[in-house]
Amino acid sequence: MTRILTIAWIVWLKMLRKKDIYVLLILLGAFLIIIISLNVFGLGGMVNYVKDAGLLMAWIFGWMMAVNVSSREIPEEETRGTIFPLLAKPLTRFEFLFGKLLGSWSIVISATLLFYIMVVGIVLMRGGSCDLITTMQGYVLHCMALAVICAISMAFSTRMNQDAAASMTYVFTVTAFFLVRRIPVLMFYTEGLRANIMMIIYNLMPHLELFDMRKRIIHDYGPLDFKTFAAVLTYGALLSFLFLILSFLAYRKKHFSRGNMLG
Amino acid sequence: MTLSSKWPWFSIVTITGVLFSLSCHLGTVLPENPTWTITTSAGTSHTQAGQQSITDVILGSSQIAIGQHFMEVADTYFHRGIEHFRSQKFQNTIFQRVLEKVSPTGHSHLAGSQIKEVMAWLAFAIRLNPHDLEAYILAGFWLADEMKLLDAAIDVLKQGEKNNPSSFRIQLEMGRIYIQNGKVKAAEEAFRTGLSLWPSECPTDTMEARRGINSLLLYNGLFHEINNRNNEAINCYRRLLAMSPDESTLHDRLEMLEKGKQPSVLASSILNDTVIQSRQVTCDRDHEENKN
Repeated sequence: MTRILTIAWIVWLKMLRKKDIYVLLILLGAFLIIIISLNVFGLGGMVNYVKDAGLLMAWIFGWMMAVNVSSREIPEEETRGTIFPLLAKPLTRFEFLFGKLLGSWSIVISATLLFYIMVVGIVLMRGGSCDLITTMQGYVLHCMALAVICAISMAFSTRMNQDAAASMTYVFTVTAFFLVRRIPVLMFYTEGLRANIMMIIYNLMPHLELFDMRKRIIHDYGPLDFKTFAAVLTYGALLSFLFLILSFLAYRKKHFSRGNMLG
Repeated sequence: MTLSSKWPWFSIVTITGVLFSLSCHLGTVLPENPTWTITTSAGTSHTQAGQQSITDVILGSSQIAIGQHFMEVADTYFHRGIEHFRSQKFQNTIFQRVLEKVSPTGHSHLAGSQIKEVMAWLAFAIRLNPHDLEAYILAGFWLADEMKLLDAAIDVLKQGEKNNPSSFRIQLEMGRIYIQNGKVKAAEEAFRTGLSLWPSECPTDTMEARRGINSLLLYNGLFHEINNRNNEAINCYRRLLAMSPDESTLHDRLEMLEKGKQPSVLASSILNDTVIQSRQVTCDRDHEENKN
């Protein structure tokens, strides 16, 4: 466990040297300030659109960070050649992958927490309210979605370079989020083989839409019942673990040679 | 430097560009005095002769599509975040059951002061597409009927009139709100202007145009009656009956007027009742759900 945490800590140190989080925080702040400075028909006290825009940005920024941070860790180690001293230490490849995933995910969820704090802070400043339990549930499920995205990104990055892994993850996760939920409707327009393929996609792809509680938070529907919340969390944990295992399977016998890794 | 290491900079440039254009464009939304207004010179696709705003340059015609999207968001907000019902080929899978709990479904409406949450999206829609009549009419309706901000409603519609000077629909809506506001002279003027503008943007065979002309003829006829111009009132009612012969109550009224008698129900009371009736909210989703 110490070895996993050490790897995760190294990811943190590397990330703190880069400026990604600060840039995204500044962008979110600027965006929200513009949104709240808008005077709509002289009416005050409107907060739902601020919550909506803020949480949407939190999702977009969180998604971008998850894909970019986790897809660059392994290819970077390989390109720089630092993978050799790492694997020469008493460290299994699973520990290495798990440490990388833990480090990337913890960075992303910390940044997402800051995004949420900023959004909720601005909503409260505007005189609005956010149900604490619902918002916390929303944040936890969001974190779980980010864990799945990080794990998918890492799985791709074990066999691809950083750019390819990031692109593949974007395509895969965006499809999972936007297309999969619409398959029951789209099935009306398909028949035969296509319909069968769509059913397979529906059942095999991760259902990332289950982690999105924004509607409950924005429109004050109140907290999710505990049973469903726990079920979605479990589903997310299983998905993340599945993709971690896939990463391990793809990485455990990967052969490294210095010549292939340059560039 | 690889492409992926530049992503923060790509993001900064893109988002800053969008925010800058938004702020430039939305800046004009802010009123000079804090009372209210949607826009200043707005919405016109050209701010001054020959000069395009930054948003026009960046977004081009896509502004209309984005504006339309904001109208849909406003509709979704009115339904407490629930989107239009769509028939599904299969139901009751475990994913669908869980999703229904995470993301509630059903049919409910905002009411009273909660309606203000819809207004932001209507304001955005108007900013992006100043020729979206539906956005002005909806904004005017919610402001006047649910929030009782009649002056603010008139201001929105006046802005709509400025950006769409040939629209009869704006005049019709303005007339109705003037009546609610007790400004009878202004209402009469608005209905008269509306009638002279009809059919403006609507093809005459559309439901919208037919409803519009029916209302305008009725209101104008009633105003003529109130002002003892019975011949003009008779002309309006005849035109209306020629278009919609089913208006049975109007037949009796026309008959009375043609005989030179005073109808038993006062024109002013019919006017008020008709305006109140025209303010009933009907939700398209009721019909959609009944169909399904």
